[in-house]
Amino acid sequence: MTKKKLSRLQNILPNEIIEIILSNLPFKFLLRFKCVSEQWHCLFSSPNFKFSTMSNSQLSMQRQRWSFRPSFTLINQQLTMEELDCSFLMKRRDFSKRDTNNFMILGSCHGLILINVDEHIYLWNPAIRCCTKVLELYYFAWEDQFITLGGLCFDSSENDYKAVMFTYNYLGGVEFVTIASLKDKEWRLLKFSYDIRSIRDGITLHGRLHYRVI
Amino acid sequence: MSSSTKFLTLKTCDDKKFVLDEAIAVRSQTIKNMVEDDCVSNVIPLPNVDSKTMTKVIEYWKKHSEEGISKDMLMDFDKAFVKVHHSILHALILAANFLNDKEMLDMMCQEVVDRIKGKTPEEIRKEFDIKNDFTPEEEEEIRKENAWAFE
Repeated sequence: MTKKKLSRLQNILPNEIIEIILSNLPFKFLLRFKCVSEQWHCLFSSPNFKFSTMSNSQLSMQRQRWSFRPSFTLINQQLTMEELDCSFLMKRRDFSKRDTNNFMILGSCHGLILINVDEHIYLWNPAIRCCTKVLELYYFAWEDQFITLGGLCFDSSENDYKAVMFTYNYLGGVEFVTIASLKDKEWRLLKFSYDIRSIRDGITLHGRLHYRVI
Repeated sequence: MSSSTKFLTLKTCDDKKFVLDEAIAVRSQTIKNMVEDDCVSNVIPLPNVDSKTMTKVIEYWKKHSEEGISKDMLMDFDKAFVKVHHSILHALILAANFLNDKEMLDMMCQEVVDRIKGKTPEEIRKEFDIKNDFTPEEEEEIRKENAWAFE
């Protein structure tokens, strides 16, 4: 291989690294870069692409000690309040920019983002800046409840999006995993044999969510 | 330095050899695995890294292994370290990826993120050497769909 060729090859980053880089970009820039090439366009729309990189080590370190719920500062790098510009923010007059503890990105799939604010769950499409309420948490009335992790995936066999939720009640030590389809909006309890606190962010493979247990 | 200090010899793709304290070299998970699996005979070949890049990597490793160095000093060092031409930055990313040094890889990737944030799609194509495979109509369509991102 000639030297020139080698140095040229070195300038091309493999896709896995481009993906790491892009997943750290704020939404706005991702949307802007959709028209870079077909490959990048597909990348952002693929169910495997994660908008929110809560697994990112830098970010998870900022998690507040007393809470499993990642605070807003944590995802601020990806998403700012101004960018969100969603209807639910308008409705909540008491939603100050600082009071963002109840805000959490649960997951993303096909460029859609699942957001949890209090008992409401919204699906946000950043491309058209549209936010729709899709689900409600039935157990929100219970205190000391934390959603430790969530996920969004597309079930092609039923042509439906599904939301998965890992919840932990730190007083009772109760933990449960629930799943709901965005079509019938019913939450179902899942059998789960691992300690929820040991579940970490995982990957999406062939449209299926996989979680890491440590 | 204690007498038990072990040294490893690393050989880059352009046949340059680097002798390095094992305690420093194991910042690379790839090398660490090799050492732990006892498959290090004398020279560790690094077929994906050239000597110019390796010199920079070792400079980074040594700085981050210095005893008693303050966080501020490291931050200043890191800041200066990433201010390189994009071809060097990319080479360092590839090296950090191959050597499996997550800390370094994260830092370099973050630098690329900071660099491309304000760029236009045209500039991005140039930066990553990507061919625009959209027709002008298709590109216009996608721009329209995501118009607010161009505001």
